[in-house]
Amino acid sequence: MNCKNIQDKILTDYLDGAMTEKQSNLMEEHIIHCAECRAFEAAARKTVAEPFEHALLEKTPDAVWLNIKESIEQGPQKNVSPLIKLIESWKQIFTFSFPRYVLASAALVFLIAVFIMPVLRGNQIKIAQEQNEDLMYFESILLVEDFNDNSNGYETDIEQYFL
Amino acid sequence: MKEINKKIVSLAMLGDIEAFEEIFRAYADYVFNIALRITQHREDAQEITQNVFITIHHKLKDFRQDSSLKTWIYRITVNMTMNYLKKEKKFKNKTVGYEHFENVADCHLSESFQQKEHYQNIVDQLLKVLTPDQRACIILRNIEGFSYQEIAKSLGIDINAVRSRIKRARWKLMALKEKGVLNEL
Repeated sequence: MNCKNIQDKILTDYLDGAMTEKQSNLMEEHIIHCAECRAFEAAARKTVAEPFEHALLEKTPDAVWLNIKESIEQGPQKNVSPLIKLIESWKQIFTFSFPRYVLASAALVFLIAVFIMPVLRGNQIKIAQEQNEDLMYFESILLVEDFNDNSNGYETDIEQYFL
Repeated sequence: MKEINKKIVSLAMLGDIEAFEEIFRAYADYVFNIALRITQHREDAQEITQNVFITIHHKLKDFRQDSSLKTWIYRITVNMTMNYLKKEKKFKNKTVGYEHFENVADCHLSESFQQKEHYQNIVDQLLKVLTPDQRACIILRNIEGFSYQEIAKSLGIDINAVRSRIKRARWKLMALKEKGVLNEL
């Protein structure tokens, strides 16, 4: 491996723990066997990582909030009633934080159930009715044919004469 | 950092000043410190912190509660700080040369500081030699402990751009060390 590339990686992903275990192991193997990269890694830790571990967090001056509050109060006022506060508290108890796609899927299922299913169901009823009507028609034809068959009787000449 | 629950955010969205103050108390120090470290100027940082929270107050109604409030606030902070520097044309003046750094470092060595103040001074000096873009990445990574992905989201840039800025910043610091400027480290 090229030492320049290794040193680039030491300064970024390696020091910041952003490598996979496999990548990290490969880096360590190189560092153990390369004196130059070993010295570079030690110097990098001391120079670009360690000093920041002791960085202090400064307190925000009190005047900042007073100025913000004053600026907000100069704008349009909104008074939130205790009732709305109570509703918001209850919302927290009964609301589950679903990811957006889960809500979208649920909405889709709801739409299918409310709008598409009745249409499909209506079609099914219509088809069944049509099938029923067809059946009745064929039955009637068959019955008529049966009747005609029966009415054919004995097919005698005298019978034909009276018909 | 104090956790802000959704009830507080909802109330603040409705205009409740007490709820908004709670959000301010939870994030103000972080916003102020980011602004302070990028600008390296206390009064500027104070002004930026005020502007950040006034902007947050105006834009809170557009905030989507399923995303991270922290990342959203940090993004506004870094963007507003960068814009402030550009607007005030303080961009170039805030990046000092090696010579200036050397002088400050020498002064620092001759003074007696407590251990914490000693490190704080070193951090300030290290950040001073970086460009504001590099500084923002280093602050979010080394001080705020953001992952590369979180920095990318906060700054609205590609993760490889974050990696590249961090690499350049650290090579610059290593070069200073090489030159013997950072002897105290």
